Amino acid sequence: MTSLATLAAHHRAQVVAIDLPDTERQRLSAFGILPGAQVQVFRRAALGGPLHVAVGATQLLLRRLLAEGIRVELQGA
Amino acid sequence: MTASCPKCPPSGAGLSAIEAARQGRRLAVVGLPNAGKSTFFNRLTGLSQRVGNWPGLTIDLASAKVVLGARAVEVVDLPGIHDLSGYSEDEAVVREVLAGSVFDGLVVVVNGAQLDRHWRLVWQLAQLDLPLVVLVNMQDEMRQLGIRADLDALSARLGAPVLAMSARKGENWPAVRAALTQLAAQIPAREAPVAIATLDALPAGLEEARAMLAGVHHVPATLPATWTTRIDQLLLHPWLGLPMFAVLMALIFQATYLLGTPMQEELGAGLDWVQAQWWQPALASAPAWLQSLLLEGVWQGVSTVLTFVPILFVFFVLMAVVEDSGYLARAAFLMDAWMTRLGLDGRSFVMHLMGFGCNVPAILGTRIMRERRLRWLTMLVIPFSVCSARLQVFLFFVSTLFSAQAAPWVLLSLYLASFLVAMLTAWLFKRALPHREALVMEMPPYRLPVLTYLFTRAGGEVKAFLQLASTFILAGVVLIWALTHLPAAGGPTLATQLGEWLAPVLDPLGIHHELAVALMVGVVAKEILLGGMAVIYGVPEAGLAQVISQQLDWVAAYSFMLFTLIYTPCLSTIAAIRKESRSNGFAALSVGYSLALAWCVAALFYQGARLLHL
Repeated sequence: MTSLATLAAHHRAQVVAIDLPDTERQRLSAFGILPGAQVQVFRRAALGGPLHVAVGATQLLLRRLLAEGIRVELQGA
Repeated sequence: MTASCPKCPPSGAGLSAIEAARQGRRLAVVGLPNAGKSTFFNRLTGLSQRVGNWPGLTIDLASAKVVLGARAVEVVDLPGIHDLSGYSEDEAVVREVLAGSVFDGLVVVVNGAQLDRHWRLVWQLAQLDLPLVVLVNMQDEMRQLGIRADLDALSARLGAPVLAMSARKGENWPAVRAALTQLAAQIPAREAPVAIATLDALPAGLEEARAMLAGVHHVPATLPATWTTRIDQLLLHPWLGLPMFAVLMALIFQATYLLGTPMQEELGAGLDWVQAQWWQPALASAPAWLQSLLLEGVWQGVSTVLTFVPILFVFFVLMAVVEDSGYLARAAFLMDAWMTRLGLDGRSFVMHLMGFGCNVPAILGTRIMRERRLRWLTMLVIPFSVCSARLQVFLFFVSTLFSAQAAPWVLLSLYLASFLVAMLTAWLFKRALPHREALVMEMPPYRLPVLTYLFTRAGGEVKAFLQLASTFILAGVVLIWALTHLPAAGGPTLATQLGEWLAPVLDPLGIHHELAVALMVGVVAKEILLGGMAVIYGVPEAGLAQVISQQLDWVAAYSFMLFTLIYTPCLSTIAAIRKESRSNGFAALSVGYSLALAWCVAALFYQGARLLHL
């Protein structure tokens, strides 16, 4: 198990748990990031910028600070 | 909770106005940000309204009367929300509107490609005991991605009509209208709004929504690569992305200038012709003071401002293209890492860009930020973005004092100055306003702007500008005329006295004393600045250029432009800052700080340039 923030571009993973405060967890759930969701990292912005990820057909800008609290199981590239 | 809830001032005024207007049936349009709600609303009502691929752009409540069947039905467009139990201001606004006014039905617009994410709101709304119709939008994108949904089955499970639609292309429109007509025709009309207790007790609905979608919503395991993916590979390129963003912005300003300036010259010549052919003969027999007031005051001031209508129209069309295309979210992605270092975030940057049209909607747009301190920091920065009113002043000076080749670059330098001042401000204040914002936002697929909306939207902006021109600007130029022509008995005019009194402050900046009046009245609305200058120098639009080029060299003019860029935001912006921050102190800080900074920057530039003998 690893954090979404460490995933390289083009990797797919499944969300296992979200270790974040309640408000941030609720906010993520509004964008479809919940335990069990399949996520794919499209790209990582330079200089520690946000991640560009896809959950289903939704593409998101996700700040790295939040991604660090999302535990995922790597599923391949 | 009522409309006077002190925590929710934004919706208060809109709500009571809507309440007063309710005579027949009323429907509310609800949906997530980027579901295509505003596009749908525009298609239904034909009303010009801002439509953008930017979460939370629909801020003020737009409403319109629509004839459905034999009935005039009022349709209200509510802000985009993720769910009814969320914490953002928009969610609070929607809860408050639903609990504060009576609706006969809800029209829920969802993105069919993202039903898994949107259906929870549908489920929550279905618990409110209000009739509803669900419109599954973006059928075209669903087909592209191979996403299918059995809408009949969903309709049966939900117990309400669920229809396919493409708001952009008008797909299935007759059926949509028929469903809305039926929704509005329900008997009897409702008499009470949704109970606040019902809203407060709503469960999250995640499991329920998932269960309802099970087996009827099919998303392929691997989605096909769309042209959005391919464009992103280019526009979000690790090291080409930012330069391309800069080039894109430069292109917009070049295009505004190249397309707008010839039209402006034609219009200016036309207005001068009207003055020579109509007004002067018509007023020939009037007393001298009245001629002076009407020709040198009202007509010259207002016609100078009017010549900017073509440029504004071009600029607003281009900005609308950028907004509607979905590129703003990419700009936020590219800039977020940089903005974080300044204590801001990618969205602050996008708000700064939106401020190029007008600062006021950009200030309201900060509502999508949850952290109060981040909002304050962003609100402090937004007034430094070159709004269209300041753009007018710059265009005028730049085209008067610089060659056609240099002009667009000088203009670009002012935009750079705008960014630099914003960055300096953020850097200065970030320690005072520390925060941790959970930034997550949608990056919508690139969408082709709907042409008619671009024009109605730009037309709406121009209309608002003309309304301003006919009230504030008219009053402003008359005031300036009075100050520059009174006392009529001779001796120094009020404006001269004022200019001399302010000389110690203005001289270090190289700003001519007579311009002091224009700057002071410009605080009300910066659109008055140019019209005011035409009145001050007593020349028509065409002649103003000549006078200015005789009176000012480029250093003094650039100093004046820097001051105009940075100094006190206009009254509407100050009011918006006060309303959104709910703090008089913060609004005062914003005004005082920008005035002081404007003086320092202009003085540094002017004195520095003089030292270098420029």
